[in-house]
Amino acid sequence: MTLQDFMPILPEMVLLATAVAVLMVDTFLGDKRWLTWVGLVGVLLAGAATYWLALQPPADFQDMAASDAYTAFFRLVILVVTGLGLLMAMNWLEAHGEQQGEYNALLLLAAIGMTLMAAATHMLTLFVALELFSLCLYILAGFERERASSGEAALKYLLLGAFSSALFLYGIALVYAATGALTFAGIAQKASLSPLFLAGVGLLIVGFGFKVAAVPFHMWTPDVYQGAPTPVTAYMSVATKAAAFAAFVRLFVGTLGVEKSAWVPALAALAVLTMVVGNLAALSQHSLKRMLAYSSIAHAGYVLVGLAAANTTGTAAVLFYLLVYAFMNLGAFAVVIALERQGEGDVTLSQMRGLARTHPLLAAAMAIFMFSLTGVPPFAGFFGKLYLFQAAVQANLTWLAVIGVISSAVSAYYYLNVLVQIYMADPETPPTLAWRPVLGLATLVAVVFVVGIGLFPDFWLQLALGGMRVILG
Amino acid sequence: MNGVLFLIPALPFLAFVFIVLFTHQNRRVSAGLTIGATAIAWLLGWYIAFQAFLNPDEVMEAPFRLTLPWFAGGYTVFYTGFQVDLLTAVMLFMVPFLCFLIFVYSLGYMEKDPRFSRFFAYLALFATGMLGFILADNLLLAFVFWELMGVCSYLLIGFWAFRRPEETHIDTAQVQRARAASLKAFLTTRVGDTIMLVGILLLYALTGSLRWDEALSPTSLKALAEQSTYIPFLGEVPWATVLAVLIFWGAIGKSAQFPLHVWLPDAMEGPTPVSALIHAATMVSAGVYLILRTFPLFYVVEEGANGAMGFVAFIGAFTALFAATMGVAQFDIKRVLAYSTISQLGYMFAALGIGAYVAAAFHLLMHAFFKALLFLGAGSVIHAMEHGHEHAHEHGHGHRTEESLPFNPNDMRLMGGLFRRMPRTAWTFVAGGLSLAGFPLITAGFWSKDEILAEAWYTGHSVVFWTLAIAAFVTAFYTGRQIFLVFFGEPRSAAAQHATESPTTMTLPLVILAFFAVAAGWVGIPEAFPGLGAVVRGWFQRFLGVQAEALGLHVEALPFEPAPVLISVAMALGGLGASWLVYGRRPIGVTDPLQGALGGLWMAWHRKYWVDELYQATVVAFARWLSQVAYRFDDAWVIDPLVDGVGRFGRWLGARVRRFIDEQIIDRAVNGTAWLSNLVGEWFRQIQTGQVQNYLLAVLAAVTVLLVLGLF
Repeated sequence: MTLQDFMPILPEMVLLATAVAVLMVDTFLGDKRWLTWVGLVGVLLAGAATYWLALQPPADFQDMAASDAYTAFFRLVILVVTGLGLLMAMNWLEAHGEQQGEYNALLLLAAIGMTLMAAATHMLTLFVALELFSLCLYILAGFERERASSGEAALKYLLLGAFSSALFLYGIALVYAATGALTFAGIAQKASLSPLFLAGVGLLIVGFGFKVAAVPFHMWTPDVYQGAPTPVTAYMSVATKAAAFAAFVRLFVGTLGVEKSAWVPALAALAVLTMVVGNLAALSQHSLKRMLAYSSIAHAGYVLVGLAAANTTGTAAVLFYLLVYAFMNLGAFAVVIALERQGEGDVTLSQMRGLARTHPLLAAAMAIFMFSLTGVPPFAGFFGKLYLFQAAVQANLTWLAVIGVISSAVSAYYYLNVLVQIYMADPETPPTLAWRPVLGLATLVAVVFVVGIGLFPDFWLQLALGGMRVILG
Repeated sequence: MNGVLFLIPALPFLAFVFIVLFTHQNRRVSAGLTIGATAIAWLLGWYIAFQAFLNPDEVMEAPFRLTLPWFAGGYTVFYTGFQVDLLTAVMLFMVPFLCFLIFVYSLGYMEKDPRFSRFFAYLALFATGMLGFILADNLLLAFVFWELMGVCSYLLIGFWAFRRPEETHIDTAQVQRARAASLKAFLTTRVGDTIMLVGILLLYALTGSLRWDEALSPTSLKALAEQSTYIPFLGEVPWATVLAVLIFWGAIGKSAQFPLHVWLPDAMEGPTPVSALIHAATMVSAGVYLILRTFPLFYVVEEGANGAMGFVAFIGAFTALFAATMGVAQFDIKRVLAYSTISQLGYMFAALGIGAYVAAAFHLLMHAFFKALLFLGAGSVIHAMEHGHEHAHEHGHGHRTEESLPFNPNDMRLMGGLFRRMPRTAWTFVAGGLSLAGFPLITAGFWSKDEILAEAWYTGHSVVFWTLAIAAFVTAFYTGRQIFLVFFGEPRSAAAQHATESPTTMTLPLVILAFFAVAAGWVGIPEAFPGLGAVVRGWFQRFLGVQAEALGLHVEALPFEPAPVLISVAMALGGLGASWLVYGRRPIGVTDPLQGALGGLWMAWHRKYWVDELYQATVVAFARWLSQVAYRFDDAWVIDPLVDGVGRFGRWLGARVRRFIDEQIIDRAVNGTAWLSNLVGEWFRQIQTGQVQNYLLAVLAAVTVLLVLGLF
C-alpha cells in the first residue's frame, strides 16, 4: 500500500492527527482554551481536504469506504457540526472545570466515526464506524462527573447502545448468511427476498432506528438528552442523526433499492409512529432539553418520510434536511447552554420568561430557530419540510405527507410556546446568562445559515442532488 | 460587471444593518454609513446608466442581468435577479442621485433631532427598497421591495409619532397627527396592494412566470389577449385587461391616485426630506414605473376592446385636475406640494393611458427633479421659520397685532417677504416653481408637460387634452400663489421677520437640483420643435424609443403642431399672471382673497371635496360597525349568551343531579377516575420509566413485531 491509497480517507486522517495533537498539547499547555482552536484548525484542514477530494474523481479505500460527492456532503455537514460543537463547548467546559483536552479529542474521534459512516461501503467499516462514534458519545454523555444524572445518562446510553449494536451485528451476520457478501456492491448483486435476508434487513432497520431515535426505538432519547451535558446533547442530537442517516440511505436506497418493496412499508410505518409520538410527547414537556429531545425524535420522523419515498427527490431532501436541521437544532441548544445555570444541567420553560426584555438578541436568535424548526418560511426549515413532503407525494405516499404536515402543525404549539414565554410573559427572575463571545459566535453562524439557506435554498439543494446522483446512479 | 448589480441595493441595506446593530449610538458614523453607501450606489448606478446612454441598442439587445435560482417550488425552479435595460437606466440615473442629495440635505435638516441615527437607518432601508424595486427583474421581487418601501414610508411618516420627554419641539397634537397619518398611509396603500397581489398571483397562474421578459413575452401576451374570462356585468374580458387593471390598482394606491389619494397630503407629517424623497420623487412614482414595466399588458389588447388603457387615462386625467384644484386652497406649504404631486402623477398616468410611453417616463424624471427641489426648498423655509420663531422669542419681539393665527412653521399665511431673508432658497424655489408651472422654453417642466399635451392632441384624445390643459392652468396658478405668499410682499409674522438662510448642507443640494430642474428638460426637446429641436433632436425620445420599440409599441417623432404648444404656453403664463393679480399685486391678510370670490367652491377645495369625511362616514364607519357587530355577536348576542346559557343549564342540571346522584355515584366516580388515571399513568410510566430493562423489553417487543410482520 502506498500513501496514495490513503487519499480517499484523508479528512479522517487529518481528524485523527488533530485528536492526537490535542491530547499531546494538553499535557504541556497552560491555557486550555487553545485546545479548542487547535481542534478547530484540524476541522478546517479536514474541510479543506474534503473540498480537495470533492474536486478529484471518486475513489475508494480498499473496497471499504468510498470518497465521492455523497461522502463529501456528509463530511461537510459533520465537520461543520463538529466545529460548532467545539465552539459551543469551550465556555461551558471552562465554567464547569472539566477536562478540555479529553473532551475535544473525544469529539474529534466521534467525528471520524461519523464521517466514516457516510463513506462506508462495507459492512465491517460500517460497524466499526458505528462503534467508534458511539463509544466516544457514551463517555461524553457522562462527562459532567459532578452531576449524577449525567452518569445515569451515560450508563443508560451504553446499555441500550450495546443492545442495539448487538442487534445490528446480528443483522449484518444474517445478511451475510443470505448473500455471502459484506461489501455493499456484493450484497446488491446477491440480494433476494429469502427469509434470512429479510430478517437481517429488519434487524438493520432496528439498529439504525435506535441511532436515529425512531419510535419505538427512541426511549433512551429523552433520558439521555436530558441527562447528558448540554453541549454533548447538542452535538449528539444532530451529528448522530446525520451519520446514521448517511449510512441508512446509502445502504437502503443505494444498495437495497431494488428490493425496496420489502422495506418501504416498514419505514413508512416507523415514520408515522415517530412523527406522531415525537410531536405529541413534546407537547407536555417543561424541560427545554426534554422538549428538544422529543422534537428531535419528530424530526427523525420527517426524515424517514424522505427515506420511505426512496426516490431521487426524497433522498436529496433527506440530505438537505439533515444540513438544515444541524444548524437550527444546534442553534436552539446553543441558547439553552447560554441560559443554563451552573450545576443544573437543564433549562425549564419558565426560565425563558421575558427573555426578550433582558436579552433581545438572544431572544431573536431563539425565535429564528423556533420558527425554522416549525417550518415557517423564509427560514431553512420550511424548505427542508417542503422538499421531504413533496418527495412523498411524488412517490405516491400522499397519505404519509398528509400525516407529516398535520403532525408538524401540532409541533407549532410547543415551538411557539417557547416564543410566547420569551416575548409575552414577564420575567419572574432575571435569567442569568452564561453568555460568552465564543458561544455567541457559534449562535451567529447558526443564525446566518438558517436564514441564508432559507433565502437561497437552491444552491444547497443542488449540492444534495449532486450527492444523491452517486447513490442512485 | 453584471455581478455588481446586487451591490446597488445591498450597500444601503448593509448600512442599515450596521447602524441598527452597532453604530446607533454614534450620530456621525451612522449618517456617514448611510451617505457613504448611497454615494457608492450612486456612482455604480451612474456608471451603468451612462453605459446604457452611450450604447442604447447594445444594452437593449443584451440588458445587464444577474440571475440566481431562488427556490424550487413544485416542479419548477423560481429564478430571481436584477436587470438593467434602458428604462431602468433612466431611473438609475435619477434615484440614487436624488437619494444622495437628499441624505446630505438631511444632515442639516435633522441636525438637532435626538433620533438622528434612527432616521438615517430608515433612509438607508428605504434606499434599499427603491433601488431594489427598479432593478428587480421579476414582479415578485419587485413586490417585495415595493412593500419594503411601504414599511419605510410608514415608519418615516410616523417618525414623530412618539416622543421622549426631552423632545420639546414636538407637541402632543403633532404626535397624534403623525400617528394617524402613518396608519392612514399604510392602510390606504394596502387596499391597492392587495388588489395588485391578486393580479400578480393570476399572472403567475396564467403564464407560469413573473419575469418581465418571460411573463410579458410576445407569445404569452398574445395568449393573454386572446383568452378571456367572464366577469359579471362586463361580459367577456380578455385576461390581459383583467391583469392590467388589477396591477394598476397597486399603482393607484402607491402613487396616490383618485380614489386612494387621501393618504399623501397627510403623509406630510413626516420630516420634510422624507416628503421630498419618498412622497414626491421616488416611491410615489414607483407606481408609474410599475405601469411602464408592465405596459405591454395594457397595450396588447386592441383599442376599443380594451378597458385598461381608458381606465388609466381616465383616472390619470381626472386626478390631475381634481388634485390641482385642491392645491389652490391650502395654506400649508407642504400640502400644496403634496396635491401638486398627486396632480403631476395624474399627468403621467394620463400619458400612459393614451399610449404616450416615452412622454410619461420623461415627465416622471423631470417631475422627480423639480418636485424634490420644491420640497427641499419648502423644508428650508420651514427650518428658517422655526429658527425665526425661536429667535423672535429669545429677543422678546412681541407678537404683531394682525397675527391672529397660532404659530405654525408650515403656514404660508405667516410667511411673506422671505426672498430677501433667504435668497438662495428663494431663487432655487422659484426655479423649481417655474418648472412645475411649465414656464415656456427654459424649464424642464415645460418640455415634459408639453410632450404629454402634444401627444394627447396628436392622437386625438381631446377630452384628456383639455382636462390636462385646464389642470396646467390651475397648476401654474397655485404655484404662483405659493411663490407670492411665501417669498414676496411683507413678512406677516415675527418668525418670518427673523428667518435666516439655512446651512450650506441644505442649500447646496438645492442649487444642484435647481440646475437639473431647469436644464434636464433640454434632453427631451422634440426634434420637430422649431429652432431648438435641431440642436437636441429629441435625444430622450430616441433613447427610450428603443425600449418602447422593443416592447412592440409604435413610436414616432411627432410633427410640430403650434396649437398645443401655444395653448400650453398660454395656460402656464395665464396661470402665473392670474396668481400675480390675486396675490402679488397687493398685500393680503389672513383670509384668502379667492375665498370671498369663489365661496362654496373654494370651501370644497379647501376641505378636499370632503373625500376624507366621505370615507370616514362610509368605509371607516363600516369597518367600525362590522367590528362592533362581531364584538356584539361574541359578547352580547350569540356566543356569550350561548355560553352563559349552557353554564346556567349546567348549574341547574348540576343542582338537580347532585341531590340524586352525588352520594351514590359521584363518590364512586371520583374514586374510579383516580383509579383510571393511576392505571394510565402507571402504563405511561412503564413505557418511560427511566428503567433500562423496560426500554430493552420494549425494543425487543418491537423487533419481534417488525420481524413477524416482515416475514409473513
